[in-house]
Amino acid sequence: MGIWPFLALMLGVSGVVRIAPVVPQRWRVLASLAVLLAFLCWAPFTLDDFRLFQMQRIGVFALTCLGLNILTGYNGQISLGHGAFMLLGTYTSAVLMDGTKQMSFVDAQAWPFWATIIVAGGVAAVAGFLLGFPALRLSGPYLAIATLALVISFPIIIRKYSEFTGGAQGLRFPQPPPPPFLEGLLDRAEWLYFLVLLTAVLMVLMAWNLLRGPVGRAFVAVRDSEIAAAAMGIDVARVKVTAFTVSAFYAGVAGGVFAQITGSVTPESVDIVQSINFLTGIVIGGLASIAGSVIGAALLVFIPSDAARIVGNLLGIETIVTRAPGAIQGAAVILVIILMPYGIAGAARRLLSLRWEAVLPVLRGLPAGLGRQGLRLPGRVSWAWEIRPWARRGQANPAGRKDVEKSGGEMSRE
Amino acid sequence: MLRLEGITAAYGPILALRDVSLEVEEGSVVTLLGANGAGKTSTLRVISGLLRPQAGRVELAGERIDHLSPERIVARGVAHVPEGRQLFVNLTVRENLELGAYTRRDRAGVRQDLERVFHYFPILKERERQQAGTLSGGEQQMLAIGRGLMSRPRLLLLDEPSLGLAPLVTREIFEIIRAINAQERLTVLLVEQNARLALGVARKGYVLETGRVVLADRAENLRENEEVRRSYLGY
Amino acid sequence: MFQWLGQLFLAPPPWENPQLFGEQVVAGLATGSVYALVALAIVLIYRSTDIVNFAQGEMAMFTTFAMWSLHLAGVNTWVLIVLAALLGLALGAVVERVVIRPVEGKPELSVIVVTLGLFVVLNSVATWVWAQGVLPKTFPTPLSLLESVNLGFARVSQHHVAVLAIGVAVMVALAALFNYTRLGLAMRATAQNPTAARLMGINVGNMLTLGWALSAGLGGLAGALIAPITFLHPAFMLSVLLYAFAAAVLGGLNSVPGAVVGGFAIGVVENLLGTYTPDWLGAEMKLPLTLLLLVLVLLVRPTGIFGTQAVRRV
Repeated sequence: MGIWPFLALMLGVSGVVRIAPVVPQRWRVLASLAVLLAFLCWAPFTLDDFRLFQMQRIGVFALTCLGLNILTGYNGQISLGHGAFMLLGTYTSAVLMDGTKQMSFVDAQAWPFWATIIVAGGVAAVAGFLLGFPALRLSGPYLAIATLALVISFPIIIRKYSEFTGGAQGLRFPQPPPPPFLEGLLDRAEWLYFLVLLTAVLMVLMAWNLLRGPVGRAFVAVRDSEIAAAAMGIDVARVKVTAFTVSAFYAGVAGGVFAQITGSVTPESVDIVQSINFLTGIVIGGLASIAGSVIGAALLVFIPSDAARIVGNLLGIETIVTRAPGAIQGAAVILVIILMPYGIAGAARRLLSLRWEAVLPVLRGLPAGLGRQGLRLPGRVSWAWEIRPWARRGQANPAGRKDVEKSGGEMSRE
Repeated sequence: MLRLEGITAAYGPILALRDVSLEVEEGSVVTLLGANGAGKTSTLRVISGLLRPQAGRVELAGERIDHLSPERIVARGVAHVPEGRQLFVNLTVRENLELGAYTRRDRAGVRQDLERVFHYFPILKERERQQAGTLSGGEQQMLAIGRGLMSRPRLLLLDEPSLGLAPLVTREIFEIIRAINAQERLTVLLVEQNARLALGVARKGYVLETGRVVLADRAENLRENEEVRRSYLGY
Repeated sequence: MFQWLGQLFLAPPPWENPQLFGEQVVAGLATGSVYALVALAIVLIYRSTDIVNFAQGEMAMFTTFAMWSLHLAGVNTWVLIVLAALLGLALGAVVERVVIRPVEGKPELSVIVVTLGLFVVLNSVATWVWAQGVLPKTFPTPLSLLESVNLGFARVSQHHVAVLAIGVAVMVALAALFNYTRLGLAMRATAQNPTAARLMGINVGNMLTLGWALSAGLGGLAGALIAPITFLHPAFMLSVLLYAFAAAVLGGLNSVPGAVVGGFAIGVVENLLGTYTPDWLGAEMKLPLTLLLLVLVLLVRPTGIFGTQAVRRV
């Protein structure tokens, strides 16, 4: 089956289960998720190899995006450098699996792949922990710039210390074969896909549990107002460092799994553009939203391949697909933000929270409304968007918005 | 000079003004009274173009201005001294005043007006080279008014000049407002919560409540009015 | 004791070879003036809009490559430098109108993402159009990189001297613009308080466009000035951007003099690190090292040396 019919079917059926009275109310969410999972398990047997590989990548990127979302969406710390954590995870896994390029105190033999994933996560978590402390002192733009510096510097360091890292050539290592009890049932691609799926499901469950608990609530409290959170007795520093650590752990695990599915790593495996894409991905997909992270990751993978091809065909420039897929990616990002400043998940949430009583008057007033002020859709938007990454200068601003007037636009209240 | 007819304006889904109509005769001081949130500041914003009305018209000396951008409205001689002053705090007193005259091309006239502002507010001349943010509250209000005057407006919109100021300073400022109106024949629309002071200097007044005009009368009648006395004058 | 210290470094230490030290300092000042220009570009936009233009470097890279194409067509090199600035001006204005204007007033993260999207687009398109064949490319300089000027205590290449001179001249011109002209006053006012600026009759939209245009113009000029030194490849502005960010941040993101001082400081530090770093670190590490230094400074003064701490109303 082609990927798009597959996705349409998957989302369609799970959507129907979610909304329609097929299942009793209290089980609907669970049921729709079960349907999603079922489809995902079916995927490797119905999609072709290329698409399967893309799904693997989506799974891995979704984990990184989820980690980044924990840090930026839920905790309000902007990081442009999550690619570095992911790359660190990939290299850790690669070094441990390679068996030849290791420091002398470690046994020079290959570690089992699943162990390397865990260690990859752990090493990245330690890095996140260490970086979380200086990050406390940096806010908004300063933090963004510092993380940008990190992701640009990291490959330089990797290239320099080539005895450990294989330098500019990177490392190649054997991908793990399917475990004995699955041998013969699945080929390598399918097995790796299920590895990604299993890891992703586990990590998502962990994240979901974490984020709805006290830790997650503390994240959000600190994001919305550090001062208020501190006044409530939250240890702001601890929360922020924890966010960094957890988010780095996710990126590290993603990196470890990434190593498994690619079998090689170079300093460019996760580069600055990719790092940027992670951030833009979660913003487009949806901040402070697990689903948004997955959507963002999917966009990251599908836009360069499919959208680029469509645009290329439309414009008659085939070379865009191969030579400059990033151009389509970037343009897509810009377009989406212009049209949906709160991301896709934000727009979806807005649509879903609409009720008829609120929409009807808007529809009635449509001809006049569209003229000057544009369509005002009522509906709530995630508070993640009130992130105050930058400290405001001077003036008190109760709505938290910038007081720049657009011509003909509307301002914050008096 | 200024006429509003049936103005309705909103901030998103929140209606701020409903069907507001008022008239300001040339050369007079008219005051807008009302409690917090009544819509007084919104009215000024509609006039100066910061807020687009959904319905109604605004006419300045017979010309419709409700669809113009603030820059154009300022160029037509409307000066809005906003609530909270909104000075350029890191610029000097002189620079603030110069910016008030941004739309003007006649350098000689600007220099003249600068002298006149210093005549009304001598303290500003003293502090000419100081940063606006270092001035006291009263001085800042004077600077804000002076900045408004620098554009040689036909209509001056004053939003709560007494806000945050000590009574003595406030009285001084209102004296100056009265003097400016008398000497320059400048039309003034004054928004105030301090009804007593406002009615003391105005010829006519409107009272706003939740976005509607509930009372409109000459100032001396408003001063005697039972409701006004109870709600806004305190006796 | 000094002898031991001296052997630590890659090159003969300053007390043994003051000439080298002097040269590296001056060369550092020259590249530093380029960093200062880009840092100014960043601060310019940040002051007026609280936006960090992450695409600054790529915009400059784009204009510089365009200039390189013109160079291949035979355009005079001095003209190229001027054209680079002009193309930058145009590019900045277009970007502001087309890409930034629609998202003005939206959440800041959204606007950042837009600049990041722009980054990716420019990076990708430039690679597609120009990164064919041999990389890196040489970018011409009107003066020579090899012939040097004798400054008495050091000999520095003509190009470095020209870069320093042009950089300083531009900074002085900018200062004059901002402090002594009506337009500059209007721009400063808009940066501080856009609402009040509108009430003065200032067209805030035009001011913002002008700000972006100036900023990109500075970037274009910077790219053309530094390309002969760093050679031209799609990632060449990346490190320049990073150093510029470091300079802007060092000086305080909303401080114009801070950006200038920061630029020169970073330029000198980078050059010295490149010359004197001990062998086991290596000269390639000068970027991470400079950035590490920056982070250390930020830990001590989180808003930069000259930066003003924004007042937060609780």
